[in-house]
Amino acid sequence: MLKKILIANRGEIALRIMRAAREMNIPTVAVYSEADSVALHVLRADEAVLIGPPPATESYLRIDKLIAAAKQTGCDAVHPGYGFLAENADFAQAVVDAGLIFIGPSAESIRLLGNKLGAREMMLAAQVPIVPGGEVKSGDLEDFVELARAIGYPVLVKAASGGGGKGMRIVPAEEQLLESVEAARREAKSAFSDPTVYLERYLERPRHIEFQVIADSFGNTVHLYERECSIQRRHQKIIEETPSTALTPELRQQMGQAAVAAAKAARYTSAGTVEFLFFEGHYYFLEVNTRIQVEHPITEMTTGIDLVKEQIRIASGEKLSFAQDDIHPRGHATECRIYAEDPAIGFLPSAGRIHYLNEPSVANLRIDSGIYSGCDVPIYYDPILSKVIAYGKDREESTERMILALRDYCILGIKNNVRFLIDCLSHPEYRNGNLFTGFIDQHLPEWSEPEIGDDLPLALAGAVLAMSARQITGAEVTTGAPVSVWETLGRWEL
Amino acid sequence: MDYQFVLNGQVLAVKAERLGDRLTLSMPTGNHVFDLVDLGNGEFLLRSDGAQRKVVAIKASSKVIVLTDCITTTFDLPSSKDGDHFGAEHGEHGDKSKVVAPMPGKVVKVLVEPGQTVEPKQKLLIVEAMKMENPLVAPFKAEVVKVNCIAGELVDSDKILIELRQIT
Repeated sequence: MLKKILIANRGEIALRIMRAAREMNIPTVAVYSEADSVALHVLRADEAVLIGPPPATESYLRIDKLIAAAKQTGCDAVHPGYGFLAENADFAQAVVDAGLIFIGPSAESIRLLGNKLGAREMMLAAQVPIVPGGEVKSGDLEDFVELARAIGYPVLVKAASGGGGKGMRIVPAEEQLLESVEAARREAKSAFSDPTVYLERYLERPRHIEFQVIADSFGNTVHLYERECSIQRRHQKIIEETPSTALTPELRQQMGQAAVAAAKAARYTSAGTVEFLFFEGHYYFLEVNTRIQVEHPITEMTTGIDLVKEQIRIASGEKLSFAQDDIHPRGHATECRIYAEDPAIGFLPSAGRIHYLNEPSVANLRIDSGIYSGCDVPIYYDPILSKVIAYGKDREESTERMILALRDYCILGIKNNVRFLIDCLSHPEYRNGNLFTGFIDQHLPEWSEPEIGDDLPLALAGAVLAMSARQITGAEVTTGAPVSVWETLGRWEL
Repeated sequence: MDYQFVLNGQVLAVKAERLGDRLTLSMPTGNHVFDLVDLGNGEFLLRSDGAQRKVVAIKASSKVIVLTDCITTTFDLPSSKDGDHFGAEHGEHGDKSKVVAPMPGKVVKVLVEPGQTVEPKQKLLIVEAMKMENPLVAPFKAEVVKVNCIAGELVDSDKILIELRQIT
């Protein structure tokens, strides 16, 4: 078994990995930038190493500093989490070259699958259906115009090394093509250090359905069923659920087998996700995410398998402890991502201090969170704050439980999407399971935060109470300038 | 005790009397009486006409943020030492001719020049924050009066990036 793990990430996923390791009696080392010195993942860690200034390119993306931190603290393994360097083959290779274990797939698998273009070719060879599209080898803008005409508008510009919607643009007509290609290249370069983009046919009303796979180093590859992630804004998922309302048992079996075949083709090990677009009863391979996914907890809720612990066991050289026939998902799980963003103005990211936080705690509810009352949300990183995961015996119960949980999820101080998520989940088309990736644009296009209305006197009473000195002591602890984190974290176990 | 709060550019004058656990608000629209329980950490239970509601209220610099049943209301506080400043802010509230950075970030590209006429929703500039490119758009048809930033510049929130003159 591994002896000590460096977690090359921040926020809720760093805490999630820390928890799994702690349950396995494996100590962990956190890393942090100067912007994160009192972030929750640092406060909760057994050890923490400062790796650089706030910009990710000078800290969380610095392979040399991460490996030096692992060596210096006596770690024998590195978990990359998601985002940052999680799908960077050079990082996986550098970890191995330094004599450490990378908790994830091999650098070779990441390289094969991480290039979305290469992955498309591999799936074509494996006879997994793919979306029509292709690459512009010359990189000439005129050739993009030609290819887009051949595919037919609307087309999608995608980053070859991309993920999470970054470096991606929908182009409705030729006039916008060049501007979109350039913007996508800039975003791709800044996010993935690779400006290569390619084109794909844009499917108008697809569902996004993905399959969790997990494989050990002995050739055992198992899928853990699907997650439907069709509720997205700006191509990033905000609500995920399992099972999907769209799949028949036959399709589920076919797609599961395709996912296993895809993983085997890339000699995949560890946890990974095979993503499909699903449209009118047909599925098209989209890409493989060679990392633990943000939405992995819903699979854990319905299968009872702890994916991060399995990753750690596989990295330690153990065999999978279950076979495909052992997996029998039960019930329904829904996840909502809580983001620091303003849904009323195009989901613009928000940053600043969280003055007050209250997270609900009820049965069959899981919260993976990276925040606390009084913490600062820096501008430098992805604005995800936490995830709420609700389990129920069926979709109805899971959804209802989620809505009630979100009503009790209180964040004050920064803009967030909690109320927006409630409105999504309450929409009749959501309740009917009629999902597609354009759901939000179609059904909640001009959303705005509800106004206080008749409750204005109640809100004013609150405002008056907040103004009176005797009452604000609690708030002043968090709003005052320098304050000991030990004070603000008084009720946490450290 | 008299209070003034600003909501959506409108000044709300409130007179508050507190006797023990009873809070009475006098407003131009009428009086409201609440029995309160202070739960600490900015949380209050407010009872009125038999109904009990939980309210979270936090004062943060020049704002008071109040959460009631999943609805966040942010009241601005008038500046006490500088009446003119408040007047200006009040007057400017909702002034969409000044395009400001909604949050700290980096200007990636400026798409317009002074003197240029822009259409509603036309992109003016792109600000990168949290690794996403966020276009800022014209709220109405306008002439670009002034551009106060350049590509590559790091900008703080509320900095006026572009000034417009509405064309009616």
